[in-house]
Amino acid sequence: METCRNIELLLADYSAGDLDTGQKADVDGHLSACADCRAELARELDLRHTLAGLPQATCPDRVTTAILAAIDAEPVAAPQRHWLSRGRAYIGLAAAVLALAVLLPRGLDLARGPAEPTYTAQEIRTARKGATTALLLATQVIDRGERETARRLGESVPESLTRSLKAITAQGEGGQG
Amino acid sequence: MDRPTYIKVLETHRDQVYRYALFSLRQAEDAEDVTQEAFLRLWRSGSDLPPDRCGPWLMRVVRNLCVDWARRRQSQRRNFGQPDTEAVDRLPANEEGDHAPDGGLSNLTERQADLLAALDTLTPQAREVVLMHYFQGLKLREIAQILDRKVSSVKVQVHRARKALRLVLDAAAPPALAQERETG
Repeated sequence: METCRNIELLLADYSAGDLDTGQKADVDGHLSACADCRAELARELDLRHTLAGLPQATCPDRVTTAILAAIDAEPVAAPQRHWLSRGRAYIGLAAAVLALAVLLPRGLDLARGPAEPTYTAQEIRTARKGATTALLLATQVIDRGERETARRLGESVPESLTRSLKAITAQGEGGQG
Repeated sequence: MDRPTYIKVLETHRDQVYRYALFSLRQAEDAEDVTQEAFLRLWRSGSDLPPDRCGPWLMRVVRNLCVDWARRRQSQRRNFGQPDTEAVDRLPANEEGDHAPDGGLSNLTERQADLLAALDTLTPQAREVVLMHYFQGLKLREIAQILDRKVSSVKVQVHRARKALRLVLDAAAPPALAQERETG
């Protein structure tokens, strides 16, 4: 049998009807045999009844009006981003950059632009397949809400990387054709 | 959160937020300011919370605002002496005609007034738990979520608050009357 102390801790939930069936049965069983806990329950119900009877004040309309006027005067708030979201966007972008690095295993000089491609068609096909997989993975990592952050970050990726990819793509298509 | 969703949340929770502020601060004007600030924070946060989770968020904010507000008021009293409690009576009634400075808390039964006085003797932590559970009807697990505490800790707090209230109320009322209340 539950102790009085344990039952007393459950009385608030019991009187609010928030106990599960098993707990309620335990409390019922204890109450039927314990006068002290029945008195405690009576006090609990009295408190609940009195507090529930306090005036239920309603928020004045002028408060609602003031709130709506204030938000209309403010710019629409941008969705809040958790720091982790930004972190995940960086991870996704890093994966994309790594995919490009896979495509350029024989050295990339950002200052001088892309090296003269000397890949075979087979190498390029394999690299493109790997890059596609990595980019797909990056896209999945970046959910819809984070894409804007990633897009902004992507704009800062050096143009030379883009040119490298284009040059390799052109070479690959040329090799296949 | 877009404007229509925000308005829906505002309409759903404004009374709950206002009541908590009113019973916590006991001044309608302060409660209105705190309510307004809580909802503005919701808008400014740009929260993408689903509407059904805005209630606990707002309660947490209004609770913190009330704590800060009460602290500031206490500090002002220390610095500038007691407030002019009759000043509000000199104000003209507003357009809604409800210029009661306490939001209607003066129209209480004797029993309710005793209870409110007894509530004031509780610690702020115990008082907020009592208000949230008994007055606002929040479940103990919801309160635990709002206050970032364990449910077991909230249960103990409610239990202790009930005992403390009983002691104060029994001391205020003659034993015979108190007994009558229990049996009645």
